[in-house]
Amino acid sequence: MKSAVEILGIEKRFGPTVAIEHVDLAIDEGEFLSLLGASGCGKSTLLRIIAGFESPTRGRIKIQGEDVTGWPPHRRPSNIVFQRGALFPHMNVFDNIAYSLRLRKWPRKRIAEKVEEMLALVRLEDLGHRGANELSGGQIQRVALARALAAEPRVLLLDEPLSALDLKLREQMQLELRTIQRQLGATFVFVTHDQTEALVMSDRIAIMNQGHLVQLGTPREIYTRPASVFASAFIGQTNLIRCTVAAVEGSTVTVEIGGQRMPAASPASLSPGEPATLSVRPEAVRVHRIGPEAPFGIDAKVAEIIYLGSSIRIGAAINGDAIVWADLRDEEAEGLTPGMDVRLAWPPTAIVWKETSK
Amino acid sequence: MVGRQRSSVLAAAYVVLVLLFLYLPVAVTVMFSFADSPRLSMPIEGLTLDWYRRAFSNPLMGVAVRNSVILAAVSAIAAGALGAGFAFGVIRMKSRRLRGVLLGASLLPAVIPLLVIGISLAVAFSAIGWLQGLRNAAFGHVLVCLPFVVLTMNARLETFDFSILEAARDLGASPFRAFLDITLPIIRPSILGAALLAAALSLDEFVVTWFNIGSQQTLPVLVWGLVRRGVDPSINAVASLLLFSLICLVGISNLSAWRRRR
Repeated sequence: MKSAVEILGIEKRFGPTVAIEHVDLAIDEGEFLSLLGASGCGKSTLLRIIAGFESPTRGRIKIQGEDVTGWPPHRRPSNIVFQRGALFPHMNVFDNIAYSLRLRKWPRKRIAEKVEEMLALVRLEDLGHRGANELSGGQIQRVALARALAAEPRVLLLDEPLSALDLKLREQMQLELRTIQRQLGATFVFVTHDQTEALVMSDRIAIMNQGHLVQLGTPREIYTRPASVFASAFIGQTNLIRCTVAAVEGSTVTVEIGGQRMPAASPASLSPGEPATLSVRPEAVRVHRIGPEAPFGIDAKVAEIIYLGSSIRIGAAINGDAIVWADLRDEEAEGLTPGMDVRLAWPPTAIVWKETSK
Repeated sequence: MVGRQRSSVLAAAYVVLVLLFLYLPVAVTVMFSFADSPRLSMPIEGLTLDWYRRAFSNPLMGVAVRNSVILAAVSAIAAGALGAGFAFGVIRMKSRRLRGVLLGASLLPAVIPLLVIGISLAVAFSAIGWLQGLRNAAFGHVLVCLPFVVLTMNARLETFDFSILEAARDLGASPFRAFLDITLPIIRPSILGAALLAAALSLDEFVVTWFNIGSQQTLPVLVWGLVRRGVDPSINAVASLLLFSLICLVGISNLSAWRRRR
């Protein structure tokens, strides 16, 4: 498949601080790609480099095969939706959306048609004459989206456009954005620090940490096979349990947790005796009562019971120390009380990393 | 309860006293500019516009008004443009510390005694061989007004959302086009307000003017000259006119800034 955007060995330094350290990334045509990371990880800087507002210290940017690295923002075939919309406050909605078309000297009639089309796309048909500062938060972001899309970008860049909205509206806009992107078959690059948002909307997610691209994959790949301790902890919730490698057999590893052994999978090469970190999702942990039917697992003591509505979260302490969280359905948790001895079990697909890996 | 009432009466009286102190001299001047007795004494027996007529019949008055208007216009345009440009340049700087230093340096002349500025300019102009006159005074006026323009513009620009300029660039506008389409329409009322403020400051500037204008007249210089020859009630008329124009300028200046904020 042809790449919409190619990020080739991009590096960005601000004086002595490194914002982005050698990122390579190819974004496919028609793809919804999220750049996900905590604030300061370099995701917004990367987006601004694609848009042309920052120039990379090293590396090239190509859009649809064309090298645009030295191009100023107004010549690039990309458009951006800013975090707070950045609508022109002295213009109405119509003029905001028409701005790029007027710069291109489109005929009046064609501009009017295009603006109407864009307003319909973001479902604001009647608001063309509304002033830019008479809009609600959600409307502002819709107009900003319409304004950017009216310019017919080859790639649309979105810089946390939903982060200023409240949760309900945000969830609704996530689905809307996704629908619009599918409808147009356009390439969207979406910057967010919200992992749920990234999971809901993206075809692929690129996780960034401290200027590095740490993992690239579909939401499912990233959730089920995180490439590092960081990725597993950043996406969704997970138990990170310190352990020691007891035995290694191919890609299967046996680890020792508080003197008890469990099998696990390891993407990295580990050797026996090495300290390691085991990651297992709370929903993968099963809690069994001690008894003849109890499967192979690790013995622990119930320490906390937290009611979450749709599930119940049990915290169990291994050797009175490391707490492992397990999300259970209501009936599974029935009869469990604090202080009760239980056996924890999880599938051998739980992943182990070297202690030092990030 | 009684004690509280008494203290609130005292507080009110105090406020009234302070306000009287602030406004009474001005009010008296305006009042006497309409009084028909040449002696400045109470009670006022009748009202007249004679002092205004007499002020305008003074042959120097026309020159003074013309020069004051020229200086005010030069100050408004030059200080307005220079100050707005400077404030804009400073606010876009990335280093917060450098921004603070530059802003501080540009505001410092506002607290340098006018006497010092006036003398320094006079010395500097004579060193480069510029004779005293309107031109030298104009430079002085721009210098005196500039810090206040920078201050007003900076206050406005601190709330300016620069991402809208990036949005314009992103949508295909060259830097110059973005300035014309976006920046200028948005900050124009603020520049206008700052320029009117500069005009108001220039209109009643005396110290720096006096050291640099030589034998020329401006309204404040004329008033000063008249006072030297004994208190002529037509001074009250000139002062009242000056006051009125200043109130108008400051009023319009605030109004334009207020309209922008809405």
